[in-house]
Order: sequence, then C-alpha cells, then structure tokens
Amino acid sequence: MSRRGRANFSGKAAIVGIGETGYFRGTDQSILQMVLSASMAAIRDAGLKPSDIDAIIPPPGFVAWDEIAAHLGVSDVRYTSCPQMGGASPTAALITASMAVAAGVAEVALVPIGWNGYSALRPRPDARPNKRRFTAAFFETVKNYYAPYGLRSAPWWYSLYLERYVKYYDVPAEAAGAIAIACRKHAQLNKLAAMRDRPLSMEEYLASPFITEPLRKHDCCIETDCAAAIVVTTPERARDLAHIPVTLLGGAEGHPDRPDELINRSDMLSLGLDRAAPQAFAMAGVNPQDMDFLQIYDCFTYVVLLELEALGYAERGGAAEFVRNGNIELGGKYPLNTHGGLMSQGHCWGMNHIVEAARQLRHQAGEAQVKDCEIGLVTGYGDLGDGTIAILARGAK
Amino acid sequence: MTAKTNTKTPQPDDLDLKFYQATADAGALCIQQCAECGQRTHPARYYCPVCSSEHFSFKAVSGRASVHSYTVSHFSVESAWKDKVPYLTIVAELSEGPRVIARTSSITPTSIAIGMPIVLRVEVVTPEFSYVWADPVEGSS
Repeated sequence: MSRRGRANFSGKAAIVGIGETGYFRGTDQSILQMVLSASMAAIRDAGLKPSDIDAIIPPPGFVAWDEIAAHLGVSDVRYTSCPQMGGASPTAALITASMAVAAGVAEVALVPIGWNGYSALRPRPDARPNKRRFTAAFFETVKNYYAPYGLRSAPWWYSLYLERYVKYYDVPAEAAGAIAIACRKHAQLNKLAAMRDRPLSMEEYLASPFITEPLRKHDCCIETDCAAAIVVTTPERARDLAHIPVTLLGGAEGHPDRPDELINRSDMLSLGLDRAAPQAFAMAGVNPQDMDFLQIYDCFTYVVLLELEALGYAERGGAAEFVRNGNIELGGKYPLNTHGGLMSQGHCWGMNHIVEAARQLRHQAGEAQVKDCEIGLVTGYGDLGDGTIAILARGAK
Repeated sequence: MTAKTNTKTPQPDDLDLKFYQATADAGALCIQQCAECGQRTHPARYYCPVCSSEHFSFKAVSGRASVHSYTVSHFSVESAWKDKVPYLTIVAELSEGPRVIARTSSITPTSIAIGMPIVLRVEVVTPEFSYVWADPVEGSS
C-alpha cells in the first residue's frame, strides 16, 4: 500500500480531553478568550492541569502557541508545530500530536483552534479593528488568477471543480441536499448547534438560491464564532485520567499534486483524501465498512460527496446512491456529522468533528448517540484540496 | 467587443508577474515553456515539473481551447461583480495542455457545455495584468 512502509503509531495515542465553546452568530468574546476557554475545558475534562501540558499544536489561525502557553500557565513546552492546510489542519494536528506523544517527544499535547468566522465579516460599529489575520500560500494564486474574475472566496473557487463533478457525473442536487438535511436533522439534537430549531426540508433546500453553481445557499456551511480543543496523550498516561480514552488507530494526510493551485491538476476532482484514506485504513487495519459513524468535513455538501467517494463508500460519481434513504442519518448505517457539522452546528475548522467523534466513542453524545459505537472516522479538507483522516476507537487498543 | 473592466487588478510578483508582463507585451496569452523538454506549465514554476530544468521562456499559444469546467455565479458581495450577476467563469483547457481561467460576454449560461470548443484572446488592462476572454468557435454554438 504505502511506498514508505506503514506508519507505526497506531494505538499509541489517545484523545483524553475535549472542550468547546458555543457556536455563536456574533459574540463579544475575543478569539483568544474563546481558544483559552475551550483549551481549559479540554484540560479539565481530562482531569489534568495546565502544568501537565508539554506540547501545543494549534492549527493555523489567529492565536499562536506561545500566547496560549503564557495565558494558560503552561510553563514547560517541549514541542510545538503548526499544520498549514486550512480545514484539514485540526485532524493533521491530532495526527501530529499523536506522533509526538508516541515518539516520546512530549507526553500531553493540547490541540486548540478558534476564530471569529461570523464577526470578522460583520464587525459591530463600535468594534476595535481586528488585527489578527490568517494567511496561506495559495492566497497568491487566488489574488493573481481567481479573484480578478469574481472568484474571491471558497464557494467560487471550489465551484470551478464541483460544477465539473456535477455535470460530468450527472450528480443530482438531491444528493447534496441529503447531506445538508442530515446535518440539519442532527443539529436538532444538539444544544450547542447554531441551527437548532431551524429544520430544513428537501423542498426548502432545492428552493434556496444559487450562490455560484452548483452551490446553493444551503450547500454552504455557516459562519460562526467558536473554539474547540482536545488533549492527546499516551495510552499509559490515559489509564489514570477521567474518561475512557479514544484511541487513534489510523491517521494520514494527503495532498493533490500542485497543492497551491486548483485547475491544472491532471484530475481536477482529485482530493488529498484520495491518497490519505487508504493509508489510514491500512494503518488501522480496518475497512470503511467497519465504521459506526462518519464525521466528514462539510464546508460544502458536494465536497462531502467527493470525500465519501475518496473513502471508498462509492465509485467516483456514485455517492448519490450512498446518501439516499437515510443511510447517513442517525438510525441509518453510516450516521454522518452527528453534531450537525459545519453545515448546522458551526464552523470550527472541523475540530468540532473531532470533539464529536470523541464524545460518541465515550458514549456521551446524548440524544445523538450512535448506540454502542466502537469505531468511527473524522476527515479534514482544506485550502485547495488538502485531505486528512483519523480513525478513532473506544478504549485502549 | 470588450466589456468595461472596473475590477481591482492584482499586483503579481515573481513568475506570476513575468507571465503577465509577457502576455501584455505580446498582446497574446503567453504560457511558460521549458527550454529543454518543451513542457508547458501554468502557473509558471521555477523548475519544470517534468524534467526539473530551470530554463524556460514565455511563448504565445494558439488560443484554441475547450471548456473543461465552469461556474455561473448568481451572487457576489464585490462591488465590481455584484451588478454583473449572473456571470459565467470558464476553466479553459488550451489545445497546448495547460488550463486558464477565462471570462466571457459571448457565451451564455445556457449555451455553455463541458468539452465545447472555444477560442481565447487577451484584454491587456495594464502592463502587469490582462484578462483572458473566451468566445465560441465560429459555427459551434
């Protein structure tokens, strides 16, 4: 399978703490406050203190490891790094944290992220200017080649390949609608979800206006202010902590060839996840059919369809069949985004997907609990198609 | 015919600047071509992705292309674009291989199709930025 041999940290790291803020459509809290709040919640949830943390791996964003350490009182940081792949970064950071603790570079890693995805675009009249800015290498490509054509942000760039997916494979809008509706249904069970109490029908989905084809309004995730964090440690250290550990069985990242540019790949529909998924399943020694739930990075519904194909649940162009008849809803065979996802809980760069996966595997997911679940997966998707996947299981392995 | 252009132009640097300068100088789309193996690459790269040569020039291409993908935008928050909706943006595959983004005033959302032959031309906006425009091939639509 792998040209470089199989990764050997399966079963050697576990998520032991989870924390998240609410998913706000506007808040007075600063990004730093939210990140610290989610971080402290995750540390306390694990039964740990800030002084137990010795690695901080924040995905790229608006708050850096050093200020997190200083504010929390983490006095002896032995390891940091920062994955640079947009929405694929939280899962990449989970994998990096797992490698760090498995290798003995650190023992207890904090992986936090947060942002003001709603308020940044809608500052209040009295708000002080937001000085925290996020950048990525591919923004140069966007500025020089896409933005001059009216393609300034993600829905417009991604539509350049998603419309080819739809037209070439004749993908019905109802398939994308099934993703939006599953997420919205699950959000009704989640007290933190921004779209709780706002149910969505297929008729409403199909009637929602196009932003840029094939993306309708309801194909796009929602903007929220939020933060989430996890704590990762070794199986040995996990034994004495507050909750049953959630063990990383497999994890991998993958990237399309020419990762800084979207349209000149030989296959414009290729995702990093096409390469990452087989690696992660091989490392974990399990099959896609073994999963009890799927927490799939859902910036846009059609991207989820392509991810499901990359994971092996359908041939290219065939995910429409997979998502039919409630197969991806709670009660179906592969419940997807049981927290509501980016579509309906809120956009926390997919860290909320990792938090939800851990909550499910602890059997603490309340009304959204997948009964007796033992194993599930999380994906990340970011920038111009970077992909990550983590396969997680209940208990020590 | 060239539509009025009132969008902010980018300020490229490095090889992106060289691409736009070559295109403006020639008044034609100029794509990077490897001096050793002939590979055409866009956007331009310091090393050829095929042979790793660092010798290249920007050469005019024929303008013959086909529609590889596209999107019809119905919404924009940008002042330069919100009065243009719906606007059509094309991923054009050059007969020479590379793909570029193109805009159009002669192809409509209802007449476009993947695989459709098109012809590209440039509108030089500044010495450092040109638009690529797509038109249907005579008799094809």
